[in-house]
Amino acid sequence: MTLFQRLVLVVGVTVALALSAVWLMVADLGTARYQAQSEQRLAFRMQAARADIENRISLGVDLPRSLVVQDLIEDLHRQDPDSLAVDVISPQGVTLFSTDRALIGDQAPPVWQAVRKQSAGSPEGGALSRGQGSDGTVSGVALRNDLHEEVGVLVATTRGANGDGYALLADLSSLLVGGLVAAGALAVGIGFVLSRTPERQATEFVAGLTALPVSAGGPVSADRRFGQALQDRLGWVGDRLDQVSQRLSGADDEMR
Amino acid sequence: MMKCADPSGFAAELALGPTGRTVPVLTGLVALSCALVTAVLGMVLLDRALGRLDHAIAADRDAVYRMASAGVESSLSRALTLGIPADRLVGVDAFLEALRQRLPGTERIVLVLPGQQYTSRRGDGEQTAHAPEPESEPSRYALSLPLSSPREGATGGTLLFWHAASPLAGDRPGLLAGVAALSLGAGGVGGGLFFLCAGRALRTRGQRLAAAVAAVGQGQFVLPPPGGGTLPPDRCLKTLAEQIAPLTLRHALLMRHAEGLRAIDHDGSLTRQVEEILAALPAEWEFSAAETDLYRQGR
Repeated sequence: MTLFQRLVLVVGVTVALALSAVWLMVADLGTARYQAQSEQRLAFRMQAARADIENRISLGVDLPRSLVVQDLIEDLHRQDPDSLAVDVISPQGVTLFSTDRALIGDQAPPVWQAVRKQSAGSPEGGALSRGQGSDGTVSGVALRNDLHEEVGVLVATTRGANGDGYALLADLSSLLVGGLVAAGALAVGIGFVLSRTPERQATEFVAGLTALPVSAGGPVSADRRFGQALQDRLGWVGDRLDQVSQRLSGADDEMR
Repeated sequence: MMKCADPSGFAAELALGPTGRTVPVLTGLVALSCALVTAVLGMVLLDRALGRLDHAIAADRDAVYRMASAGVESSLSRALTLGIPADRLVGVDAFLEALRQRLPGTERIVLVLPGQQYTSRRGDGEQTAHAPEPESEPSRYALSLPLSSPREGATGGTLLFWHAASPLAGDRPGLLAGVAALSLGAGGVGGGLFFLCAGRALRTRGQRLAAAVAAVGQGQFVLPPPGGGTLPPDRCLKTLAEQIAPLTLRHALLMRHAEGLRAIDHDGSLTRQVEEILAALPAEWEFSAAETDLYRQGR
């Protein structure tokens, strides 16, 4: 491998690794912030929906009989592009309302039950309870009447935060690819620049050593002069050997 | 091998060969290049990535603010529809403050109605008479609200959310410090890697070249095989060996000729003559003994 190739390899690999570390640092932080923002959006919407539903319950209508709740959850589902399903579950784990109407009256899936149990223990107006379903993230918030009794749980299944994170990572990946391409190009340029002097020194030395002609008027570098001096030295040695050889030949002729 | 003296002092004029002094300089330049390139590209990458992240987070935050505005509009509409005048609404400031606390990253919320303005604040909930000085450009959302008197029809209001211009602004100094640290690390790693991959070989072969050149200056024309390297000193060594090879061959032929003459000497006079002639060669000169190999190679 030539000096140029080694330089390109070293600079390219080092900068590529460093840039990847920068990208990981930014992507990790950025996706965490983005997911936090997404969760905040979900929490806000869930709390707003909870407040709406509880207002209707406070007017004295039982939750299972509040048909307007079906419209509310369908609005909630429609407004969020990441929403997969919104359901209201009774304290007994039966689905009272659902954006998938075929599930109404059925026993809720286990992950919804788990979220319901978490929500039952949460303080009034507290943070969402979460679970991971097969389709996405399941979030739940308890619904309470005026007596602060739990009358149900509002459950939303959303495309997981990971889905949002992956989409964002894919977007950021293009930046990394661009950075690596730029790093490669710069590595080639740096390799060329840094290898030029040693290669030129060697070329000049070799040119002087092999007595290549110098361009007219061009400056003679120190390396070329060095090679020329060595060439002169070797030439002088050769001349001495030739002289001795001729004298030996003369002695040989005399003997004959 | 025959040794001959070299009175010319040529060896004293020889300096360290080409590329011998460049290894520390090259290593330093490689380290500096790696650090600078990482710093520049890292800053650009950081800036672009934060811009995209800000955009994504801002879009999400905008959706939250729109939902919040819809909620405020709905609540105020109910109050106004009941006949409460806009300037007699009670607890609006506390309502806005409760809303602000549910929106992390929001510094202030201001509700602007015709002739009135409410600001999110803790505690007493008094109305504000003057507009607050904005710290950054707020997000604005228009509200459609009915006045207290149904006869007057609907009127508009504006909800203003003050928040940090960039959701990730607080993280930027830490990220910049991270880029700086990674740049320094890249410089160290790059310099070390270059030394291991090329610098060490460059220095070793440069020293070998310098030793060979010094040896030639002292009349020792015996060089180790140059090897197959592609670094600059390798080229120099290879060329030097190629230049010395003919001299070695000529010296070998000379010695064979002298041996031949000695062999046919009957009375010793020819031997004396040969010794006198060979005495003209410097005693310090040393050539390789592998002349038979040179014969076979056809040089």
